[in-house]
Amino acid sequence: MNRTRYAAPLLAGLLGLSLASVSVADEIVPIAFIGDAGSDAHKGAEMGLEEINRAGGFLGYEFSMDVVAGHSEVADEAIAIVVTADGDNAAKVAEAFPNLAVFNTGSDDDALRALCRDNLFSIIPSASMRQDAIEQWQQQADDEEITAVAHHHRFRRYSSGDLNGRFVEAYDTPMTEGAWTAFVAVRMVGDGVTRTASRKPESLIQHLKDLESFDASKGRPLSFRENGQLRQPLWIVRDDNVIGESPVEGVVDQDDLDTLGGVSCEK
Amino acid sequence: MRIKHWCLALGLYLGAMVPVAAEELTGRLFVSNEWEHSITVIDPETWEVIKVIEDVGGQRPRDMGFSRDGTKLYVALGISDLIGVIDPYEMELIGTIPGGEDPEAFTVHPETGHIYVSNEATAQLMQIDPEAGELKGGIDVGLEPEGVVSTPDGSIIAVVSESSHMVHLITWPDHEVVANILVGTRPRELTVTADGKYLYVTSEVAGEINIIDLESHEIVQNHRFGQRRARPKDVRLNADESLVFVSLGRDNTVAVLDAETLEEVDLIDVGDRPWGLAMNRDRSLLAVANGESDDISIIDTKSREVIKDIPVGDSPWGVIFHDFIVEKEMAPR
Repeated sequence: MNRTRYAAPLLAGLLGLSLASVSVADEIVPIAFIGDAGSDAHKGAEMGLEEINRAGGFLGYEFSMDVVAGHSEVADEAIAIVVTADGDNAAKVAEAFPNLAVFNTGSDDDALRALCRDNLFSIIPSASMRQDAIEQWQQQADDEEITAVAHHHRFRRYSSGDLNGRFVEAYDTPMTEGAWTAFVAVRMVGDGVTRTASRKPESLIQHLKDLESFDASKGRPLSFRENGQLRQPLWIVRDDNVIGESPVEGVVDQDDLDTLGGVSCEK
Repeated sequence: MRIKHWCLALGLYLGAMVPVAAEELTGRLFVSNEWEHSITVIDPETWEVIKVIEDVGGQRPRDMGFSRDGTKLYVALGISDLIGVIDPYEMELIGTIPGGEDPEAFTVHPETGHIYVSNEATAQLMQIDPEAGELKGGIDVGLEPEGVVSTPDGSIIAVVSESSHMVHLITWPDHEVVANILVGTRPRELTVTADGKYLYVTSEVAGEINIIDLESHEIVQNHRFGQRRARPKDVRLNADESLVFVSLGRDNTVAVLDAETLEEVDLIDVGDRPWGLAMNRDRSLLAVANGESDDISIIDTKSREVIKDIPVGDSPWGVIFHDFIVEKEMAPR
């Protein structure tokens, strides 16, 4: 076993963690990443990996990531699969690996959500979420040329400034939405494993379904809908600047994240 | 009346920290205005603004604390990577010392007077010798470290990491990380009981407060706030430690909980987005920094009513009364 691959176990040892907690780091937890090496999504996932290894190191966990071109190359030991815009169809991957958590980070297709696959979790907002966010904004104002995004590199609130700063520091390029969704997926794997103190894929899936307060630097607790879509506020962008948030106060209940997009399953 | 000059002179002469008596402290309330890069000073009797210190030595002032003898106010300057050193009597900048990268929150160690400050950007707890004006070294902690507190005897320093969701317990003087305790998502601040046995930790995104037993390192009590907009930030205990006050951020309230059971006993309306809290010396008054309404609420901790609202600068972050000495008693953090 290559114990010097990451600093985390070494650090854990130096920090005087008990022998029992160090021994759980003996097995590295592999995450599969389907997409292009060097893409924005890959950078985001890499930063997520570094962060979960830092946190995991304090608790005796270590994670690795394998970049593969398609789901046929996913290793047997993988605990979860991150699918990006450059990768496979997320629904097909979820079907091929029913026991693994599969994160859709690249497709906004509402049909993917309506399938309601037990193991498919969409971090990227669906097309209908974006559309509702834009319509809510236009109801209270005008018909500005706006878009609705999950993440923006210029946003500073809710510690997004810290997150964007870390990304620029590491890669010297702004954190795009594609980088953010892959980052969040990897962070969710790390948080799930450390919180459940389990490296079993089924424990991770259950943890994600039960999730009540995931923190993605969006200022509120996030959870998944029954259809596997991450509930989240979206940022309203005009001319590459965030001008507001949706759900829009005064138009809908600002705290009701289910005013954005489809919530149900096609049964 | 220039008692502090006498103290400073004597202190320099003896080459040692000489504590001044409590009655020589001003009792003034200092408020850091995060995005105005200033400190507002408020008279504790009239509640009038005495002065706005416009030059605090750098940008983005957040946490504040006093040197052990009460003669210097330290302020963390996040953008400038500095600690500003302010004369609380003259209400002006004395100078600056290095603060590490992106210093945010800190504690002044009761035994050494050293500053232990969370360096948000590098995920370290940085030790600073403020007299020498030098960084002593960083201790690796989780991502986005924030609130820092020391037990009254100085034997344990606790720091939260917002993005790794942990409380790290670090021994002093060895600086060994002896426990990493997972708490609710985005822990922000903490306070410790006078006997040094229990920590109260807020978790902003989880909307929780936890009590941690510092001997067993276990979470022994938990409360999740029912208010949808509750984003717990700062936390303080009252004088007999029967009640705990928690600022709830977006809920625009300060919650009062039974300190043992964490059951909610009261909810006090304050300004918009209350964050920083400070008790005065006898803990009869609680100051609340309302970051979005740009004012301070003063709460009478007995009647649990707001007795005064004081407009201050842009985005008040932290508050502190100049009326306690760390060497003699635990700062009411």
